[in-house]
Order: sequence, then C-alpha cells, then structure tokens
Amino acid sequence: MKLELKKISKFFPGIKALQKVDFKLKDNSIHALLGENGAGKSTLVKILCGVYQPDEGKIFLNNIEHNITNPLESLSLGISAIHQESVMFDELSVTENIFIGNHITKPNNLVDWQQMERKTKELLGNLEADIRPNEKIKDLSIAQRHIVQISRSLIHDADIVIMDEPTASLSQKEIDELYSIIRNLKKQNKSIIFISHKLDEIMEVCDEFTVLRDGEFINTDLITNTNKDKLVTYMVGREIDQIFPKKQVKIEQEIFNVKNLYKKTQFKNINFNLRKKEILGFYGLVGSGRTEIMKTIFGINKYDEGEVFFKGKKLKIRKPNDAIQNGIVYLSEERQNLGMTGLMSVKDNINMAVMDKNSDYLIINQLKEIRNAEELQDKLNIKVSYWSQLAQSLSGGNQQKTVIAKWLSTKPEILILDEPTKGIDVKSKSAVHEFMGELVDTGMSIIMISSELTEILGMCDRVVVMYKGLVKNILDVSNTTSEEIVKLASGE
Amino acid sequence: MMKNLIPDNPPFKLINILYKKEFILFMVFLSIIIINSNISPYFLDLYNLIDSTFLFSEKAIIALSMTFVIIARQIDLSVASIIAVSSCVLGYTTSVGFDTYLVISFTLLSGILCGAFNGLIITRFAIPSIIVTIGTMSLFRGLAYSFLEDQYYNKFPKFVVSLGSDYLFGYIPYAFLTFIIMSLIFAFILHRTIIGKRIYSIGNNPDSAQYTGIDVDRYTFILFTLNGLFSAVAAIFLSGRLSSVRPNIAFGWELEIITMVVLGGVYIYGGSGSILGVVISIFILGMLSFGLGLLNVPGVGIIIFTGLLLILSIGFPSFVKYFRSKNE
Repeated sequence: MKLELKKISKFFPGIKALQKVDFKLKDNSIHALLGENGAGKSTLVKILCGVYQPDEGKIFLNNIEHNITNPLESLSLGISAIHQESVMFDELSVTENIFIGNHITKPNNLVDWQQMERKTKELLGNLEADIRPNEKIKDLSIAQRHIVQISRSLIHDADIVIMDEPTASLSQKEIDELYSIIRNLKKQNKSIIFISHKLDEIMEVCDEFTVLRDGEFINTDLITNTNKDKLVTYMVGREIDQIFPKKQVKIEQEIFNVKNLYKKTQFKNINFNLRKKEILGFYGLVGSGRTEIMKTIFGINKYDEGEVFFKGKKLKIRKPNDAIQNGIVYLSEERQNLGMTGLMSVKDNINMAVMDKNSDYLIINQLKEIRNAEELQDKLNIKVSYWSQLAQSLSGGNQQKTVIAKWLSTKPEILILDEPTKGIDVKSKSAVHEFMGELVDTGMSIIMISSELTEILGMCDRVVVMYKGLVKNILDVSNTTSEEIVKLASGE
Repeated sequence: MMKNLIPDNPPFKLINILYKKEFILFMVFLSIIIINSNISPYFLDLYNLIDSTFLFSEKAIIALSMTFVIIARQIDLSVASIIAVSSCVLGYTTSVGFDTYLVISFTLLSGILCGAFNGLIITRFAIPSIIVTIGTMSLFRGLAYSFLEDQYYNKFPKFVVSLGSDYLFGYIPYAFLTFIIMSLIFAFILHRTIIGKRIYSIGNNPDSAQYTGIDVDRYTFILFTLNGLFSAVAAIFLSGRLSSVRPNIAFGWELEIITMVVLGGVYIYGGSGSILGVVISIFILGMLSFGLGLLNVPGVGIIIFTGLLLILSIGFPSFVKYFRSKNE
C-alpha cells in the first residue's frame, strides 16, 4: 500500500471538517476523490500536503507511520500537489519555475542554466509536451501550466501526485493530452489522487474511488464496480433521478438574430438566432470564440462587421449599458473578477445594475433598494445574515446567486450564461439547472456556454457548435448525439 | 406566513465603533486639541483658530476631489502643478486687462483643461494614472516656469484678493467657507447618490463595474477633470492670499494633499473611505501644524509629526490585531 490514512479527524471551530476518515491509495493507481463542495476533500489534501495537521488518526506511507508537519516535509516524502489555481511565477520561465528552490549549481556555486534547461527539455519530452523551456509562464495556456506543474513534481521525485480539478478549464483536446500524461505517470510507478466534479472523466481515467460526504467516509471501491448514478447517490446521499431536470416549455417566435458577425482574428461569419423561451447552447473548445462572441454582443468588445437584431429591430451596442438597457445581460464565467464586487455589501451587489431605477434624481432610495434585494433574495434563496454583509463573505454558491440576482434585477429578456456551473457541486448545479428551467418558463431566453456535454444535452433546445472562430453547425439537441457534437467541435 | 426579515446591519456592538477609522481619527483630533491648549495659552483663542484655517483651506478643497479620485482607484500627482498653471493664467489674464469674471473663467478653464488632459491620456490609452500624472506634474510645472521665467505676477483683481484674504461677516475666511460647503456637497454625493456608489464600485472592482454597465472611463475622465477644476479654485484662493505668483507656487502640495486623504482613512488602492474621515484628518493636520507653529517648532518637526501620525493612526487596527495574536 502506497499511502494509508487511518481514522483521520480534523476539527475547526464549530465544524467537523473530517471525522475518522479512512483512505487507501494503492501502487500504480489513479484514485478519484469525490464529494460535494465542503465534503472535506480539500481538508484531506491539505493534511497530506502538510498545510494542516490532523487532530486524530495516523498517516502511513509505504507502511511506515509519518507525521507530516509542514509542506516541505510532505514534498520530501514524495507527495506533490497540483492545485486548481496554479501556484507559479508568471514572469519567470518554464525552467525557472520547474527548478525553483531546487536549482542545479556548478562547482563554483553559480547556477547551471545549461543543465537545468537540458533537464527541462528532457522532462517535457518524456511528457510529450510542446513547450519551450525558456517560455514565460504567463504566455502558456492553462493546460501547459498543468504540465509544467507536473514536471515540477517529477523533479521532486514525487511518488504521489495530487491533482485538484486539473481539467476544469481545459478543452477536450487538452484534456485528452492530460489523460495520456496521467496514464504515463502511472506507468512510471506513481500513484495519483484525482479530484474532479466531472463524473464522465472519473469513469474514464480512474481505477478506484473514495467518496466523502460532510466530512465522513462514505465508500471506496474499484471504478469497474460502480456507475455514475451510484457515485452521485454516494455523494449527495439521496437518489437524483435526473441530474438535469429540464422543464418542458413551448418555444415561441424568434426574438434575437445575429447576422454575419465578424471580428478580426477572433471569429467570422457568425449567424444564429434565438427564440423566446429557448435555451441555446454554445459548445466548443476553449479558444473557439464562444466567449468572445458573447462579450461582443454584450458590448465589452467591438465587432468589425455584422448586424444584431432584437425583436426585428437593429441594435447598436457600443457599451455594456446599451445591452443591459435592451434587456440583454451577460454572466461571466469569472465570477470573482467580473461578476461581483466582493468588498461591497450583498444589497449593493444585487442593486448594482439597477441603481438608476432605485434612485430619485440620482439620490439613492433606500426603500426601493431593500425591496428589490428582498424580492430577489426570496426568489433565489440567498443565504445572507444581514444586508450590509460583504459579498465576499458568502459561500461560492451564494455568491453565484448574488450575481444572478444582480442581473435578474434588470428584468432581462435574454440571459447569457458563460459556464454557469463551473466548479460548483452536484447539488448546487442541479439547483442552477432547475432555476434556468423556471426562467425560460416565465418568458426569458437563455444562451448558455458550457464545456460539459451532458449539461448541453440535458438543458438546451439547440446547440451552436463552434470551431476556431466559426459556427460549424447548429443542431437540434433532441436530434443529435454527443459523438456528433464532439466531432464538429474538434473540426472534423 | 411570516416572512423571515433580514436586518440591515449586524447587532449593534459598542466595540465596533471603537474600531471605526473616523472614531480613532476623532480621538486623535481631541487629544491634539487638549495637548495643544495645555501647552500654549494662545491655542484656544478664537481669532487665532480661525486664522489658522488659512494654513490648510486651499489644500483641503483639493483633498475633497482627490478623495473621489483615490476611492476610484486612481491617483493624481499633478494637482500642485495645475495650481501653478492656473495661477499663471490668473496673473496673465489680469495683466492684459481682462474683466474679473473673464479672469476667473479663464483660470477655472485652465484647470479643467489640465485635468481633462490627464483624464484623456489615462482613459484613452489605458496608461496608469500614477505614470501619467508624474509626467504631467513635471509638464505643467515646466509650462509655468517657461512662461514666467524669473518674473512674477503681483497684480490681481480686487475680487480675487478679497477672496483670498477676507472674511465673511468679519469671521469666516472665504476659502474655509468654501471648503466647508464643498465638503457637505461632496459627502452628500459620495454617500447618498448613485454617483458615489458607482465610484465605490469602480474602486472596488473596475472590471466588474464595467461588466455591470458602469462607464468606468467616463467616470475616470470626469473625476480627473474635476480634480483639475478644484486645483484651479485653490489657485484663485492661494494667489489672492499671497498676492504674488511665482512658478514654484504650491510646490510639493500634491503629497500633502494625498496625506490628508490617506490619513482620513481612504484606502490607497481604492474602494473605501469617507468624506467625514478626510475632513477630520484635515483638521488634525491643520491643528497639529498650527499648534507646533505656536511652539516655534520648525517645519522639519511638523513633517516628522505628520509622518508618525499617518503611520500610527492608519496602522492602529493592524497594530491591535498584531499584539492580540501575539498574546494568544
């Protein structure tokens, strides 16, 4: 047994983060660690990395008991973690990042750049990655950064590699490359702990799984002995008949139409329409132009050619406010950076886009503000203790709800959602999906960008498939297969 | 069904007031008054106190618009140089014999143009304001120097001189009066209108503000223009008071003004602060230098005190946190 955790417990004031959790990692195994947000996965990983010390329980590495008291110790024991948000130095080169804190020196104590670069090349070559050693980290894609992190863990002779949602922001092609690297690592006699919310990929790459729920151990087994439905049941603790409870609504007339939209180097010949009460999916690899088109329609970027029609009238959108005034809003995938204003109150955040309506001659009308905030808090069930509470002190799910509340305040007719369920757990996800169904039922139309095929197939009426800035096809979801969509999205 | 009502604020606790920046500042202000009045018998003399406002009123006027600029996550280092430009315009238009209202209009216009120039460069080319205004700080000052060379103006319209040195009802200096009225207006705009709320949201997260439909560039441009205008207003009071304009007028004021704002609890990276805090801090700095002046402490002493005060009062909550965590 490579790693064994016995009856590990960790308590924080008022919270039992982990309670007597057992975890066994075999040699040459890719082990999925599953659970909803807050189930205790991160705490477990932090204990392994030496960030936290367990309050109870024992850790065995290769059948020898160890006390991991700090991150350096964890590293020297051969445990290496690749975090979701990369912890790297953007302005330094690939070589410098891989060898940071571990420089190779010449006999005269000067840094031996040549040898470090040669080693880097060799490492990247073994991983079959197309990255130059002297490239700066900031110029790399997220997938390439993951590979650099993996290389860094290999330099440290890591035996156990922990990957926290490594595929969250990757395209299908990059994901496939990462899978082959992971399998490659396994061949080199390493074990991998793989954390992911995507059940499809867990079924595909992992050998074993362990499920945690509310800080408790639920189950562990071989992947071959289970299926997706069972995994969901373990995680949520109840049967979910359908992950995507799509409400059936009658789709009405066309309300929105994009003709020949063109922006140099980003996209061209973009034609699509949207009907009232429809959910239109946008699927494509990262960089295929999905987000860029939506940002252009919302007025963040300007387009070079083309026309946008809303209810038969030609729209001129120069800035976001033009779009908002016309009832078109865009919920960015970057919730923290572009969605909320963390250091302002929940009430201010909810009212942020409708300040005009909640004021009399520019003077804030507190009564109207509270009324609007209460209405949306009630509708979305945002868990807030008091109105002056800062938005950043809310949990991730409630932050997302606050951003949605901000946009619903504007009473939009078209809601553009960019990866609305990225990085949120199964239960919150199905709540978001249920809510989308309710919104279209009240007459709204939704455009949803998603990288998750199951989500597209489960929620959308039609899907626009994009490849390298072009619309490859617009498909009826009831009339297509995931294979067809993936093929189109990869340019075949 | 009873609806579960959400309160506006957490339960009231006295301790929270003690941690408020404005409260700490007010305590500092009180202690300065008490110490000063104990040391010097002349300190609490009403006429002296009123006259002491001449020391800071012009800077204080700019500090108000600077507060907006800093809350919006920008900085303007060119204000003192704009004073120099506007003062030159004031002196020149007087010397060629323009009417008073024209002289004033041109002076204000020069400030507006300088501020708008800052705003335009910053927003159009997306250059950080600290870089742009370091540049225009030299540029505007240089313009004043090359225009005046070793000359100076000492003739101004009677109205301007009286603005700079006379009192309303024989008691209240006009510059001080302007500052008080403007601070009420600025407090209202910042804390009661959607303009203020937008400035806060821009300062907190400019990208998010843009995605919410707020025209960040337009706000930035207007705030710099406003700062230019207020620099010109200060230039009128200052020239009127000194009755003399040299190109080195108001030299180094930009940092004194920023000190006023930052001591007032305005976060240098934007997004938080209040006009009340800035006003108290202006009084603290004013009373400090007045008191030390009465004691014949030289200028260097005043600078040292100001620096210590800035670090101590802004750092107070952090110091408390540090020593608490050490004791645990």
